[in-house]
Amino acid sequence: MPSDRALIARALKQDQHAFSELVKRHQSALRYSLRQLTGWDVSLADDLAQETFIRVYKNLNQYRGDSEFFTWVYRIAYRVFAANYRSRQGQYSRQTLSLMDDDVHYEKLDSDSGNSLENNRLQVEVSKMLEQFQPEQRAALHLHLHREYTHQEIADIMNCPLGTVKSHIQRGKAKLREQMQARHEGEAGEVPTEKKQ
Amino acid sequence: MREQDQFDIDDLFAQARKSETVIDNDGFSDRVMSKLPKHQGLSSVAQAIIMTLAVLSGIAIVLAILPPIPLASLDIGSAVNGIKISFVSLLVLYIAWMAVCLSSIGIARSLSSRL
Repeated sequence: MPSDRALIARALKQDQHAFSELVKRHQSALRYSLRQLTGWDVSLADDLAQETFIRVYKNLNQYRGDSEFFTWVYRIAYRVFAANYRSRQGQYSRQTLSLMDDDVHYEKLDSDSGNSLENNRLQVEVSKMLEQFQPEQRAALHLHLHREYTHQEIADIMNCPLGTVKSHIQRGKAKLREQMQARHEGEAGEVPTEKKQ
Repeated sequence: MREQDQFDIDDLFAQARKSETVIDNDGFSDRVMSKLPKHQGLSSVAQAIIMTLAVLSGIAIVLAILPPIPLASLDIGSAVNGIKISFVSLLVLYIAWMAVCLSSIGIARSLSSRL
């Protein structure tokens, strides 16, 4: 299997088949991340992923190879996501998440991906938790906690100071911790049958 | 208690990571490829023109350096005004011509990359 760099070299020589291979190789991870960042809005995430790959193609000659190709793709994806978020003023994710609350949508996810219902529920649950944060903090948390990038790599991807990234992650984790604690306490004290009456 | 909570956050994301949905390509790459610009670089016509100019320039340079007849006796304009062209002026002309060609290539590439 050719390396990313070999495919990039071919793509730079107008070999569109090579670029198609790059898209196939990285589409799943990118689309998944964008679903996480958009509150699991599949349609929007795919649109953003498409826009990202088009920009990658147009700017492929600017890839210097000083980082992994997918890290560079993430850098572009983050810009696309942040610009889209600003243009929509963060409305889309709240609308989407309100639609995702019932099991019908979880089952839809299940049939689409072939993944287990429990796993899909977890994916959406995590994207829901991230949804409360501003895009910068949301991306920093996702890249650190899910993609396991280092703080410095995240700073490079997001083009922001290292201290800002550390602050985003530290505060974000603290907030998530508080919420999990509150949820845990709420579930422990909740009696569903009595609540319905 | 705090350590337990910390573990829970990391554990939650670790579970999400392990169970990450592998998204089928399902035509996505075709969708992307259909949206790509038709030509990222120069068009074939532009490439042909530039190639022709480059070849002509090369021939001109070779002729300038190794002329088939002595330049000193070259009388290009005898049929017109009897103007004689020197080797230096011919060389300057070629350099200017090369500069124009290189500028054209640069401009063409710049324009095509923006399309």
